[in-house]
Amino acid sequence: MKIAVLIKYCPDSEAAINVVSGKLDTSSAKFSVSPYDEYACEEALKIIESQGSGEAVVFNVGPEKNGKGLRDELARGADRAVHIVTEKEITCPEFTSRLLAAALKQENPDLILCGWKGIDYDLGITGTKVAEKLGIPHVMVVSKLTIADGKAICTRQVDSGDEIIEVPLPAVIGAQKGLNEPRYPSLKGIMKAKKKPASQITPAQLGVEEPTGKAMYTGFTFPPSKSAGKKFEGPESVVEVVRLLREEAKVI
Amino acid sequence: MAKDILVIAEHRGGNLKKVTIEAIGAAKKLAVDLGGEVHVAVLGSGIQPTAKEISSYGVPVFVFDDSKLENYSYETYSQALVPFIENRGYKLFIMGATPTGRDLSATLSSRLKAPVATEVTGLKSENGTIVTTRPIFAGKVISTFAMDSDRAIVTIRPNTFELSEKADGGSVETVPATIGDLKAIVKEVVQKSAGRIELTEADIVVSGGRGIREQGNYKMIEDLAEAIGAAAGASRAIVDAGWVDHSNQVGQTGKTVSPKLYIAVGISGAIQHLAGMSTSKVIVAINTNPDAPIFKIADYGIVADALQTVPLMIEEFKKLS
Ligand SMILES: Cc1cc2nc3c(=O)[nH]c(=O)nc-3n(C[C@H](O)[C@H](O)[C@H](O)COP(=O)(O)OP(=O)(O)OC[C@H]3O[C@@H](n4cnc5c(N)ncnc54)[C@H](O)[C@@H]3O)c2cc1C
Ligand SMILES: Nc1ncnc2c1ncn2[C@@H]1O[C@H](COP(=O)(O)O)[C@@H](O)[C@H]1O
Repeated sequence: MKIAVLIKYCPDSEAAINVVSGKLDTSSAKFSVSPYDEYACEEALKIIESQGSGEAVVFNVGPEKNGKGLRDELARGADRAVHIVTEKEITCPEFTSRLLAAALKQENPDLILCGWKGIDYDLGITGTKVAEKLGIPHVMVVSKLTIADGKAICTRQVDSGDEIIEVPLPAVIGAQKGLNEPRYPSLKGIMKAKKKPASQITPAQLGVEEPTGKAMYTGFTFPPSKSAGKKFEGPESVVEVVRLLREEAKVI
Repeated sequence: MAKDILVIAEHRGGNLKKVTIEAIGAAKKLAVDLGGEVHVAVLGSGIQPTAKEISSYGVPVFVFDDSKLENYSYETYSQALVPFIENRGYKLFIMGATPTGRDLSATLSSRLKAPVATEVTGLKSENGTIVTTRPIFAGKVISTFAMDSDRAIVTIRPNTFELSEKADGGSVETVPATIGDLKAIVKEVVQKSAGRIELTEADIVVSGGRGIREQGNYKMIEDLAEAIGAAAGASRAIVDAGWVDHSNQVGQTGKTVSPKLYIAVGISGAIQHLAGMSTSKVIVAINTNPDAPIFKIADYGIVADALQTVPLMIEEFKKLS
């Protein structure tokens, strides 16, 4: 079974993000693979291990530096990487998904795993768009996955509980936390990753053009900083705090 | 140019989600600027009463009532909605930023060729351009995302927009839905939190972290939640420890909540936790460490042992009712 894994390379969740005159500056941030995509990659490895054979191919759209993120997943155990190299980070999910869909068409995977959302722009759009472009079904927010008889049986987490959804393969499945525990790359894995095949393609080679729509980020600011609140000491201060919640903050 | 707004309602078994009423409220405000009307679409099976309820907000409601629409599925919903939308023309689509709303918005974005803004906390129109405010990078940055297009889609963060007022003049119209073959089949729906208040919609959220010391003490958090009619949440530390289910987790890899009041018990306030609750209106923190980062964003901080403090708080809350 050939499994494609879509990975996003994002500023680490603890990274400081700067805003300089209304523009984002992530130059000092440490980058890492978005956590949900790590679940996606781990799941691909587990499926291949349980089936005894298969290939996990990791895909990324982004600038040259993102090659490092692909290498990280090769070190974890993925077999091959496809890097669609762009000049800068693309923040338009329509463009990203066009590129991914074009590259995926050349590969014809049996299953596509992605994160249900990236932790950078909090979108959760790209996986679904890829599926729509390929004309295949998708299930997002999946916390349990079983592959059998050309089908995927997914547990999808929704607000009030779980839905059990069955889809024929190929399909795009978006990983949620709880799907598995991603392994750490071993030293041997890191050494092996250096020799694994990693190809680079450009949007032009894929014949994909940037969408012309006028939807864009027009500004960035820091959230309003909160002024220091009131601090109390000792358990008995709850009496006062509860009074303030009622009389001052008026929230109860 | 189309000017009308379509709100897509969300419900579970006919019970309307609060975020739908917030979406109607947000849409009504925006409709004034756009010079258009607000319509609502509701899909499901046997949901005429829900449609009637929505119409009490003074809006025309289009109801798609079909046994095939009983459970949400992006396929059935978009098969029903897309032809309807193409026939009528709408400028803007608003739904809740719930797992369902996000899923549908992504599908509609592809099928209607419209850009989408997710997890929106601010919404306005500038000369027909839809201008949204969205927290990004775990809430560390607030972005402005503008959509200058014929159509646009927005999912709003629950609990951030005011509920719509009730009004006269609503109506209900049934729209026939043609649903063809489906690829994804919903086999089963497992209700986990039946009767419980959903975290993302709760007015008050009480969350416990590693500072509660042991699994058995989570009961204390649930009791506190019950005493004030709140939903119970958790930090990732105690979810990973297996003390509570992941569906309770608040934060970057959990749920985003925006209640009136958030009470953090024994939670240090890591950036990933703050990502899920920093837009709460009032924050109370109980923590033994006076330097815990959570106190930097707490409106009321209590430096004390959770195990001693929470029972007293329960008593105080009980006195209120
Ligand atoms: C990619 C990524 C994603 C993450 N996503 C999330 C997420 O979604 N949600 C999330 O919460 N975390 C998330 N985390 C984890 C996060 O970094 C923290 O590790 C976690 O939030 C810590 O949980 P905690 O505050 O309960 O535990 P701790 O950090 O251990 O804090 C416990 C606190 O309790 C206090 N305490 C101890 N005893 C008592 C007592 N008796 N009474 C009162 N206070 C006491 C301590 O002073 C301390 O401040 C993520 C991390 C990563 C790397
Ligand atoms: N630039 C990208 N390269 C590869 N995969 C991506 C990229 N952007 C998004 N994805 C995939 O789509 C998922 C959802 O991303 P998003 O829509 O940006 O929240 C991510 O978790 C990835 O699996």
